[in-house]
Amino acid sequence: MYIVPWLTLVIALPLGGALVVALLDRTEDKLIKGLGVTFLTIEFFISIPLWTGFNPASPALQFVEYHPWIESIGAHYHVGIDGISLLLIMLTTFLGPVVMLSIWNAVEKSAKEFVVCLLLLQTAMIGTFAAANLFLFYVFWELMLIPMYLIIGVWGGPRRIYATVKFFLYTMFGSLLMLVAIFVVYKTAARTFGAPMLEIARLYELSFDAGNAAFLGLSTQSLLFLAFALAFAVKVPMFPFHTWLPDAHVEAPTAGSVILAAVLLKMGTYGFVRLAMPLFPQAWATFAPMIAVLAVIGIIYGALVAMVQPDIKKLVAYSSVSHLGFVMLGLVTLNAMGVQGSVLQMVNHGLSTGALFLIVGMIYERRHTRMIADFGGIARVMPIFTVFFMIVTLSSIGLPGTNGFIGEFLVLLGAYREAFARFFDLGPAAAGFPGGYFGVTLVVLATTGVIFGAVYMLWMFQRVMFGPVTHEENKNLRDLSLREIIVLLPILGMIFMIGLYPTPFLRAMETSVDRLNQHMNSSVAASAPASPALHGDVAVAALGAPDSSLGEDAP
Amino acid sequence: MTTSLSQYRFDWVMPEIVVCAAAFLVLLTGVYSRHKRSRPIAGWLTLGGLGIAIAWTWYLRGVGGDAFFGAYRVDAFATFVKFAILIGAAITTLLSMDYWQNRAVQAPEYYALLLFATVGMMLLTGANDLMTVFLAIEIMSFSVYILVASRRDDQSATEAAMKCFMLGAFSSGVLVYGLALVYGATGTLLLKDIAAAHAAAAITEPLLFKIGMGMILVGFIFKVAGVPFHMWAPDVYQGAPAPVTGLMAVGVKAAAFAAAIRVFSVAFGAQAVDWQPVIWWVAVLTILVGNFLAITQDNLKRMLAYSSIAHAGYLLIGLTTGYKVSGSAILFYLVAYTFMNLGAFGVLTAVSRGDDELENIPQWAGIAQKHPALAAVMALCMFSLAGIPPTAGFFAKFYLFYSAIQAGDVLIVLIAVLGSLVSLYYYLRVIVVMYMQEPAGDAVFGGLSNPARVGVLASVAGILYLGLWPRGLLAWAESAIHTLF
Repeated sequence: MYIVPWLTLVIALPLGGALVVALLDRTEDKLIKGLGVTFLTIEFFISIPLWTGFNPASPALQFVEYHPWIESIGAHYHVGIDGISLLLIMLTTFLGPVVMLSIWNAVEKSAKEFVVCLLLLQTAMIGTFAAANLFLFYVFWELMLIPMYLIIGVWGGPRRIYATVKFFLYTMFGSLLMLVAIFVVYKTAARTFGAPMLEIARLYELSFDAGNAAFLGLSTQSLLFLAFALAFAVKVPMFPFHTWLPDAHVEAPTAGSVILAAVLLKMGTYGFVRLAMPLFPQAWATFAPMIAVLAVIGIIYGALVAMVQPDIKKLVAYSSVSHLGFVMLGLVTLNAMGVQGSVLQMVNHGLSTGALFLIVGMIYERRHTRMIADFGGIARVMPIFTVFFMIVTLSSIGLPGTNGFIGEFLVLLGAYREAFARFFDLGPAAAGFPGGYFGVTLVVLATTGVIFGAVYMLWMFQRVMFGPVTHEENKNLRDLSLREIIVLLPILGMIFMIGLYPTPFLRAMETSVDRLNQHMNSSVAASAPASPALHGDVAVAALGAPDSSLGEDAP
Repeated sequence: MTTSLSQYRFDWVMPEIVVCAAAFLVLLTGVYSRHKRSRPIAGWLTLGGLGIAIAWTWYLRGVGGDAFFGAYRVDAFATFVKFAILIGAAITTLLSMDYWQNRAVQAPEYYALLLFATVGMMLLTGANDLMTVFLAIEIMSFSVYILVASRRDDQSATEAAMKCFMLGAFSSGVLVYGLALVYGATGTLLLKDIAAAHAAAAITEPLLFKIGMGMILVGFIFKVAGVPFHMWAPDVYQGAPAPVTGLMAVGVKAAAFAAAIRVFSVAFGAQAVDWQPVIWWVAVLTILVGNFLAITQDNLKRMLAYSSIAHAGYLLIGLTTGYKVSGSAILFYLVAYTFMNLGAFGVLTAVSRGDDELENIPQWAGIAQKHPALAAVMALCMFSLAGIPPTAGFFAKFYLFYSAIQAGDVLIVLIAVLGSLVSLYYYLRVIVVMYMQEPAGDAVFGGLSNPARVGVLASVAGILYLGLWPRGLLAWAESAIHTLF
């Protein structure tokens, strides 16, 4: 136990801030925004002890806090972080004040409600990353939807209602199926442990013994995994569940897009890392080839579609599909390089895509258009802006020296290691990684995604920034204000910091990633000889077996 | 054999007696005071009566047993549901005071009927023989028929009351026919003795017995508006004054479910194989029909009517899967549903003025800008009805569905979950209209008067409290359901 409950403070501070802001008079526009920035800045500072106090050598959850909540169903307030959640929480608290500052001029209509929504969202996101109890996780996970739904729907663009309802329904569809799967896991756990059990770490044990009837067999696991995976795949979003994303991004206000891209999409990948993979390792191994294929399709498809977008924001949205494909590919490798690269890529994508959306927002505020064709030659008019935009673009492409390079490189390195494992005698390949020429082809295709990424980003950059100034309106654009520079500067700092010296970030998650890989690979090995075939009928029987009937209950 | 008065256990039914007495007192105020002066008195007296009844019920929460020689039973189960009903009735009274004040009518008989309806519901929770069940249902139903018609000069209200009465009378007929058949087959009206007769294989006419059981089931499904006997609900909900609709959605439903649980677990527990599949199909149909038909509704009250049909479907899941597991889930759900539904009807009451109840959803466009507090309450209720954390509705659904999974029924939970997904669409629509559309025009919204404010705040507090700290009520519900066995 810690003397100061840092983690709870970090979770609760934005909530408290939201209550304070909710009590203010709605006409006090500047005060409300200023308070929002203040709260999230304090939030960032009180999250620093999490980073400094974290012991990267320990695989255990740290900063654990445990308070009984609803004992009879095993739901408790149990939070704690490992290296992976630490990085994502730091990303969230880091971007919080930046996002809040970015709404200064952008949000005029009911700023109070907007600030309250952002603060609530912050609590929900950090809570999701920190939850160590499945019930708590689900509560925060769902709670996240409400503020985001309002942010897109109230402050969004012309088609905001369509976009936000689509976003909500897609996400809820996945979540509700996951809820049913949670029930089944819960029931199995209650039988196995003899008491209601929803602690995530204990639930990992359910997968180990495939021979024992009380544990989850492969066929049950597969169904449950699919339910969890669907919820997370929608969120990531993986091809072909991504169609809500361009709509949501294009319609959302800048701050909404930034949070959506930087943190909310990570919920999907984090969900895989925290729940879908370790809860159902054998099922993951069964479905990993499919996920690898979808990830690579996402990489290529996202890049190709991004290339032809006339709208900068939509281009960035599709680039997310491509980048998140790398993250998913990294997870499939199940080796230290690939998974570390994948987690780092989550952070990187949050930084660079977040910054890209901020930049698009800045230029939109000036011109009220996001069409590439409406720009051209901006570099001459806005030199400071150009420098920032260039750096962020290069980071998104993955130029060596920026953060994007480290993440993508590690992911591809990890993937190549698994793909070539059996050709070059590199030891056993990761559980479930598609082997042989198929795997090699996939990885080679994924690598071409890096090239495509450079193509669409640089081409967009060239059309927007260089050439003659063809539009009269563009001749007198203001360059970045001090506030805007302050918004972008910290992100730029992080881009270079991770790009030049990634060691602290990699070390923070090293042990946690190793633990995940070990859990996954050893569980799959333990259940060998794994038969990848699915026995649907067995699964249905396992799910449908009634263990109590009314006839026995009645007097 | 002589019986002394104490053997009737009048002391256990004091809450019911208090509510009854309050009803008569309210009627007297109509006689003895001038019309104008009686306005506030009737409402406050009603509240006072309900308050005393709540306190008395609390005082009696530990005791229990058979009263009136087995015809009536006081136990933790009945007490639990009575609480829900009384709190629902109290909130309804607060809303009614607002509603009638805005129409410059305060008829004492309205409050008296409200109290009589409450007595009927309370009696239904403890009814331990078939005759008491029938009497309680009739006390409740007749009061509700008149309450529905309390806007006398309104055509749609009269039509709704007529419909409610005709179909209600029909369902009562079916019910009483069923009771008669069961009585004929077993020779007893006491629920326990029916089960005993079955256990002793003393039923001479098993076919009559089963038909009677089926008819009783139909009667209950009518009362909770389950498919295919749901047709009356949308029209009646739409026509009735908003607070009465709220009372019908929560109180009548809670009482009917309590009675159904008691009758079917105590009297017909051994025949579960016969009626559980029926309820299974009814639950599935109710969930699907309620949710899908709600999508197309433009009228908020109609939408809430279909939503209440859908919620009845979720509750019926609890009946299909064995009470020990899901009985407590049903009880919890009923309380949560009381708060979230009355919150929604409270807002609806607050905004309505005169003849126009502002019940068309498009009329609500942009009210978040003019009335942020009202819109926030409505949004909270919608999120809770949709089952999104951290509201009471989420935990209630979570626990109910979980209990069904525990009983091994994954399929019905999948259906219910998909039904919930559909329901998101129409609940969210209200929020979309309130928050995301520009104010359309001339709709004039009232604010909340003080009594209604208390009622709405109580609902909000209930929604949040049960969403965040469900532990206490859950433990109570669990212990309550055990007294049935």
